[in-house]
Amino acid sequence: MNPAPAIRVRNLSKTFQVPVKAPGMRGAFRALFKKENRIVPAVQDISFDIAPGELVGFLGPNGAGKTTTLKVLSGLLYPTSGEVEILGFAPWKREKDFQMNFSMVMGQRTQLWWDLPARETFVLNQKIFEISDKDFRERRARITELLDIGDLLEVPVKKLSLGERMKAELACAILHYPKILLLDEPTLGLDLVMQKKLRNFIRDYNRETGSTILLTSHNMADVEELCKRVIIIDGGRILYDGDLSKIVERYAPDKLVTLTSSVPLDIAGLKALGKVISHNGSSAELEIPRKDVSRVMGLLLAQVPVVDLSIEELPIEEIIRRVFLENG
Amino acid sequence: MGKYWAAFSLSIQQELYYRASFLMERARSITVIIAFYAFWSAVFQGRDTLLGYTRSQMFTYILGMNVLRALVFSDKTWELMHEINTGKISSYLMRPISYVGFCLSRDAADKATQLVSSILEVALAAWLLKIPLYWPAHPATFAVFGLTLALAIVLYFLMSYIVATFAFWTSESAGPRFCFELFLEFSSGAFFPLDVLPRIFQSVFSFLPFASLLYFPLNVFLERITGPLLARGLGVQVFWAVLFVWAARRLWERGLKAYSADGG
Amino acid sequence: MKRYWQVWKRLAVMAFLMQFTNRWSSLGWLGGKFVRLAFFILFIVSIFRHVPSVAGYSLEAVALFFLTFNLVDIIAQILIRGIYMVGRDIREGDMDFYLIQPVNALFRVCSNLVDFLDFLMLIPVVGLILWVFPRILAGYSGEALLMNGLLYVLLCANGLVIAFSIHVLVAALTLRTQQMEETIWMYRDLVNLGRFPVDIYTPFLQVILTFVFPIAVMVSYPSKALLGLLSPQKIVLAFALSAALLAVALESWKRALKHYSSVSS
Repeated sequence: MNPAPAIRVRNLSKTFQVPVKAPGMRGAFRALFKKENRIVPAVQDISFDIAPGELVGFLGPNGAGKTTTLKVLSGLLYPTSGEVEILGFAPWKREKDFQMNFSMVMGQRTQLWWDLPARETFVLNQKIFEISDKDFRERRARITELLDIGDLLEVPVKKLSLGERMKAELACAILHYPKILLLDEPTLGLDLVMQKKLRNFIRDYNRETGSTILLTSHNMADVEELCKRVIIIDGGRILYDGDLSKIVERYAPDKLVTLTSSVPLDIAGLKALGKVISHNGSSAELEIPRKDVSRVMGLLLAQVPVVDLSIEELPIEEIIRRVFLENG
Repeated sequence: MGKYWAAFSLSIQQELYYRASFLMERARSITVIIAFYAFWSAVFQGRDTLLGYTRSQMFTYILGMNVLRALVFSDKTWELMHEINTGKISSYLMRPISYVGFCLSRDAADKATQLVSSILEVALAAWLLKIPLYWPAHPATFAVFGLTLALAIVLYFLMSYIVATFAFWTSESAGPRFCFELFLEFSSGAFFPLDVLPRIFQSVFSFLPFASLLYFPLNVFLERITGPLLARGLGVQVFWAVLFVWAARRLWERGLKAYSADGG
Repeated sequence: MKRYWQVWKRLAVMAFLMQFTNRWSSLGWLGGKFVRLAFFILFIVSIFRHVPSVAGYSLEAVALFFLTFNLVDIIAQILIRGIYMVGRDIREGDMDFYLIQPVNALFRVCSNLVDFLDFLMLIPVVGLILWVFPRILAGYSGEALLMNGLLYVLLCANGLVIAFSIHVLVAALTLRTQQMEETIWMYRDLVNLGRFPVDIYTPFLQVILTFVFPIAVMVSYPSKALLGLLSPQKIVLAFALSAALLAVALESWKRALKHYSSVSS
């Protein structure tokens, strides 16, 4: 028997009414008297469950409906139809007991007060979420240590770099240890080191507190490192919902072999072994079906004086692209 | 000349585009007339003269306040301060256009729109409320009034730019500027004629540059200031104008230096 | 309730810290407000050196009207200053944060900028009111003193409710259209008509200032009640008007929030 899901979405649809404007002065004039609306579906009939403690990646291109879904989950938007239940609450009712256990980080936006040190906003959230002084001190110490932001909390937020601000932002959003955490593009615009730190932190936080996290990202490294399960959405519909590893098997039947030889390669010979993606004198990249990999390796090593050889999964970007291609 | 004209017309377009802020400024000016017109009507009840003003002179002063506020006190130096603080001014300084010329065109555009609007308001108010207006008896008064008004505009321009240059040194110039502006409005007579105040205030204000901006030109128009007093008033205007030209230049130069020393 | 008080105190501290970081600018704003207050008082006192009364009111009465106008306006500004930023809050997405946090969004919007400078402005205003009071109340019987004094306080509170309602209406409009935020500055200008006793205005304008844009009820009625010039009907009207306005304002806010939650941003 599975525990009750933390997030339960059934047949959720959300449509927007967008006013249609005819071009030019005449159009503007006509719009004064008669407003024409076009109905734009943002999310259509999506359903999924997320179990307590799960960390799920939510993927899709721009305009796929990711942000709309997150806004419905956070209670910022009313659904047009369908059901959403989080911890047993309907989010758009914005009940206190729900909001006390909820948090959302929106990529380029900040709840931190721009002119003041982040520490001040932390105290504000302490008051809002009724965190006891003892808990507050402990959590702040723990979080600032994990994120390595001790000194940054004393600096006015406007003087922080984007990455530093994002860390402070995340810290501020989880001071009340929300059971549900939505992260919208948490690593957008950050450098690699900073991305890595943030990811480690999200993973630790998830493990330590057992909170449920839903994360959207354009950055596949985020998804690969953090999420066992992904939901892929495009055109307002779910294309895939399941384990990341299964998606790899299903959409990437091939592995990527990179090979460097001490002599110029015989390309025609290689083509007999697998699909050559690129070649350059003595090195080449091949795609080889998963099941043939060991057989082909044997042949390769026998035929070619190999200097360097690597076998990898296709880049996750490529796999996701294939998902979209196939379903689009 | 062409490029200054372009700055002028661009500003008018912008002005209309930002009609909200334009309307706000007008609303403010209109409420000032309504409040003070009503107040003075209540004060004048049953009297013919007060403080040396006849009824028509007093009401002309109040309506004139509205027009002169529009013509003298309108400026775009808030924008200038913003441009300095955000560093946007650098892009102007690099262009082959005199920044002061640019500012002047921008101000002129503001003044033109505000003036047209305020004349319409005043005409409407005078017609609706049948407000008795005072017209100068001597045609020469118009010429002298024009001269004092021109000097007033120059003075205000210089003063507001001097205050705006503080933005070169601090990003916190908005508050002091607000304070300055309020002080200036009261002490120039833009809320009430300065004759109301006790004599000591009047004599102090008559030497300060502020009264030259509004109180003095309006009283020239009302022909309450003539002869030697007129000459003295003009002298005060010219004296401050010369002083401010010197101060504005120096401050502007120093400001730019401080600004580029900071790396912009 | 206790939590809200804690949050409000915290927001006030943060607003103070912000103003303190920009202390020169803040000092300038404060100075400007003092200059305005001082000049108006100077004007009112000076005019009475030339005339014995204005619209039948003595110097103390006109001063009372002016000071009460300031009192109501300043307290309103302290409590709901944040509403002026609602347009920015929507554009920059801060509104979304207010909505997902377990604090009433309207409370949050109002208290987001507790203007510390206005606390300081209260000092001279309250001080002067205390100076004017005994001069007005000198001839009153104990009973009238109590009655009028009580009405004065209640009507001031009533004025705050009206100010609050007008601000909420504008905030609702801003939330709905996402562009009407300038309307609130119109309010700032119109409210200035309440500096002087409304009796100086034409009857037509007085009706407008009572029913359409109830500045008179907001800032003039308390003083009139203290002077014993307000009929019982008008007192009832004042409370009924603010109750109705409050109801309309809160309903509009609720609807605007609902609208906000159904449109894309």
